Amino acid sequence: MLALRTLHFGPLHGYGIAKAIRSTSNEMLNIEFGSLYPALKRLEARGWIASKWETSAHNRRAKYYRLTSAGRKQLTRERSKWAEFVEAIALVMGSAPGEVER
Amino acid sequence: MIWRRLRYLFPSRRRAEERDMQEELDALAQIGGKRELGNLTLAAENARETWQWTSLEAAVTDVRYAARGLRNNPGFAAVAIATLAVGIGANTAIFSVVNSLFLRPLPVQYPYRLVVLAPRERGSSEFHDLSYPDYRDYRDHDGAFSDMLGFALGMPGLAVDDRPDRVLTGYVTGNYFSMLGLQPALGRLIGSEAEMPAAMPAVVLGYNYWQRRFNSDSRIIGKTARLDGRAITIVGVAPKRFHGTFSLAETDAYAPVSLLAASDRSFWTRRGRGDLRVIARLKPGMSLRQGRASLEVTARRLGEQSPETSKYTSMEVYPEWRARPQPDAVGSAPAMVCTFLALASVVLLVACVNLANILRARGKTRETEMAVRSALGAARSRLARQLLTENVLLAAWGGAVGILISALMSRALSSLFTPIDLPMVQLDFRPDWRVFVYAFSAALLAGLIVGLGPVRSAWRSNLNIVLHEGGRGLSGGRRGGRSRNVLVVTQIAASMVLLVAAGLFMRSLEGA
Repeated sequence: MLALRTLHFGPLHGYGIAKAIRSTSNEMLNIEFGSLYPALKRLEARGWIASKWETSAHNRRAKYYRLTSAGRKQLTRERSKWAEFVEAIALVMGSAPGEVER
Repeated sequence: MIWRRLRYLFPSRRRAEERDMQEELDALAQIGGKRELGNLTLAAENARETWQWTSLEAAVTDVRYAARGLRNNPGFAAVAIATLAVGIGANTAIFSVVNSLFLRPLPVQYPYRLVVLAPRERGSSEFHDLSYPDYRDYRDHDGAFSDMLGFALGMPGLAVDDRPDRVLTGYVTGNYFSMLGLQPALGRLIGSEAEMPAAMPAVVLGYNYWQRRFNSDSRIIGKTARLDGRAITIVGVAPKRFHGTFSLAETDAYAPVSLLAASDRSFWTRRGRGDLRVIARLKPGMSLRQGRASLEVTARRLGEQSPETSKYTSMEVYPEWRARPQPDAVGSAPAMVCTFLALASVVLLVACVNLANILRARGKTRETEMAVRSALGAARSRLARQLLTENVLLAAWGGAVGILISALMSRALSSLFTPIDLPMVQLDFRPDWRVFVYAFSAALLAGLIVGLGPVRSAWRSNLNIVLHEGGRGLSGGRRGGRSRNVLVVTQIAASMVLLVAAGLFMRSLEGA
């Protein structure tokens, strides 16, 4: 889901995705490239992202991934599932949704 | 998603994917620096799973490795396969006998709806045949059965062009072939004229007999001949796979029941003495019990009408396949089948034990190999699968050769079953799909059973000890020796039992 979301904002190559997730989460989520890469391959196999060889800004070649329309739909789906998940946990933990702010 | 996977069955696609992945990882390494990215080899390995058929490839590798192992040890392979083949072959041969005699249904329409009528006299445990008038009464008046046929067996001499042969002949009623739903291979089959006296009765030849004796000559149709001196016409040939309704021997010719009456006029009218074996066809939806009940009612009614038939107090009904070769066998047939199959299993067991011995000896030389592979990171399950694959491969070969052996043995067995005074009977022990399934399962079972032994010892082997002591550590010594002795003793014992049983069986055959 995180990879899909990251690609929502534009195509990136594998390393770029890892960096983006790290920086966006304020260094909280440091995903191992060793796990991210196979995950990317799996996403591609399911048709949610597509890859293309391109030259980057520094004139270096890399494989860039972008979100497909199917991937966009999947992102929406996963996002709502995640929201449900969060709400369920909040209910169990005792605080009503919206009361989390302190 | 599975469609994309299928594309990767082609090695060229896989190679292309691999190249692409390497390029990508190299490019990223240049951009981000190798340390940043961590263990790329692991990443690559995990990523490969998305487009590789790993488990399939592993299985193929196992098989190849196993095949190579067998090729490098031809002596061992030959002995192992031969042992298995003999075991499986003998086992399957016995099963095919059982199959032909008892299990295989008649090659007719809806064979499982056919039942045999077995009348029994009061106080006797033996079954009779039915007389013609009784048969007609049952046929015409019983409501649970759509039709009933009757037949009797004889061994008349058939003389065509003055060359007489003793032929096993079925004297059949007019509806014999029509009830069984058979079409002639040539000419026509006996019809309703069978139950009327005729000047030139029509006779039908059995297919194999026609092939054997007349070389499949179609000009035999319409020829006149003599059956026990009486003039008859050969009108047709029975269908190819049909061997008659007597399970122990092939019916060579089919003649009308009117010929029985020709030598004995009272055939048509006398009751009481039995002539015909009756097979009836249950109406669709009728159960065996309903059929029997209906017959009892009819029997009682007929008993009241005619004093001679009241002798039959009970009319039993059995499914056709259970009443082979005759209704008297119903009680003993299952026991016989079980005995046969038990014998067969013993044969296979002896072969497996033999093979297990051989494998055990060989297993010791492979401990080092297993230890090294284990040290290199092979999971124990993978090692076990490898060993199992080897044994299944052996078993597959053993099974294939075994089927050949069983085919040969079946032919030998069929000549064995020929009682001396019936020179021309042929039994159909040809294997059908049941036999193949049986052989396949036996081979698989053998492979698995035998395979578990070395797998278990490989499991338990301690890596250190094996590597350091060069394999002479655990399974060598005294413990291994004792179980080896047990195996040998079991083998000898089983073989003796088998020999004695076979000898007794042969004796009983000769006496019969």
